[in-house]
Amino acid sequence: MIDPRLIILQPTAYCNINCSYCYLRHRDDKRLMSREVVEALRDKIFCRLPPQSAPTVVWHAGEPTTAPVEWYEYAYSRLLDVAPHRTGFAMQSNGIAINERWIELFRRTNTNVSLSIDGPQRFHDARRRTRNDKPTWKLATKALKRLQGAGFDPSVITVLHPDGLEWPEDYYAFYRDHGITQISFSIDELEGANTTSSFAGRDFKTAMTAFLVAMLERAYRDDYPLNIREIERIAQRLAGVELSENEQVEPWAALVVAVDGSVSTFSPEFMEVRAPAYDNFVFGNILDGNLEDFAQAPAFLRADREVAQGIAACKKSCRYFAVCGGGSPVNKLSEKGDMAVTETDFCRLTTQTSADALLHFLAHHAPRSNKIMTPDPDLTRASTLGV
Amino acid sequence: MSGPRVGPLPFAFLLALATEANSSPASLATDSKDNLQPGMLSGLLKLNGNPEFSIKSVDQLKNGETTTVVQYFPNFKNCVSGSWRNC
Repeated sequence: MIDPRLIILQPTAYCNINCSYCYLRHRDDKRLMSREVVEALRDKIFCRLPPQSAPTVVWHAGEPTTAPVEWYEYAYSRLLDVAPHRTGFAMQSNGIAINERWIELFRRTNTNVSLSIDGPQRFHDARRRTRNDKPTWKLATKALKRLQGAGFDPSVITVLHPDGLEWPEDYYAFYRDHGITQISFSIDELEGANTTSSFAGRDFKTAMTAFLVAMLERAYRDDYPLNIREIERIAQRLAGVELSENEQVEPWAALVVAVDGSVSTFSPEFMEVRAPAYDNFVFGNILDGNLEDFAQAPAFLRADREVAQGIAACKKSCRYFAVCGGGSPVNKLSEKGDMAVTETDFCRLTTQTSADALLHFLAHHAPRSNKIMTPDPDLTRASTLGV
Repeated sequence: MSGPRVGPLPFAFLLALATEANSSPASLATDSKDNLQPGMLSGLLKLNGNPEFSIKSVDQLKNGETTTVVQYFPNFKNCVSGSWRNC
């Protein structure tokens, strides 16, 4: 029986802005997911989920608010009555189109909203531009305020570039001053349509870790409840809290259905990867078959085998495996051309830095007589952070 | 740290508070070459049997006539607790 923890649905691939680092190949495609695909989602996925399951359904992979509100009203009307009781709905948005009608939809459908805002205005506007090359920070923060004013507490995803790492205090001030308490940091990563990364060519691990330590220290000093998702997850795991495993390395734990009904799994971004050896990670179409059929597709079996080899290699060689679980297959493939490998730049700059930052932060707060943790000496030198 | 909290206490801060209160020499023992292990910091939250630092999922903070329920790890949905970063 299928039981995905994460279901990514793509109402449309279209996006109304044009970020310089976007990985979406089809962001000019204005097609909407058809009613036939929605019906197939209902019959072949949602009706078949175990009643006790609690998947998160995310409208994503394009700008979801470029699909009409009416489209969602129809989709929710077809999915909500058959979805397991504990199903959660979420939307990842740039916020630009969010108005009262959207807020009413979110409220009525209990949909969580996460906004993509790359921190302070100068960093956000440098890369998150409209299709006419206009800045978008004011529009995004207006949506944030509108949502907050309506009682929502949107989380925020921030994509970092090297030029931001020297300015942790500016980023922290942005989150604090805008009442943002749930953030997730990603990086300008090499994948899909984004064929270069600004992090390539130099090792930014120490700088990234120092950035995160500074964020923690500032927030802690101010008693500001800044939850950095990656760090929170690692903190909980190291404290012994039971958490779900890495959904990107477990077949069908993350399920992606694209606008045309194409189905994929493992890393959701695989939908944007051109890889003929894996049938471009399209393992079937929901209009034509069932997940059980797709799990027998040769391309899926090959991907599954290589992802498993990568996990085994990570487990054998990486000190961070317990907080990572085997990394991100799409980043392995995009960076190394192979999913059976271990460490990527993405690992180093996201999971590893989050773990190092947490340990460094805790060591800093240990009583002087008890500083038996041995933080990275390079990081200690780099921590001229004003903290 | 002082002052009012306006949201769920980050778990990292809970660990830091426990670290500051720690008089036991074992809880933070690690080395930059050691493998990280699930539960390796669990000792921090069981210090001296102090319930303030024991793992708990919900706390109630009374402020006058109002009571705020703080969830330390709410019923995390995947976009909050999962590994995938793009939602």
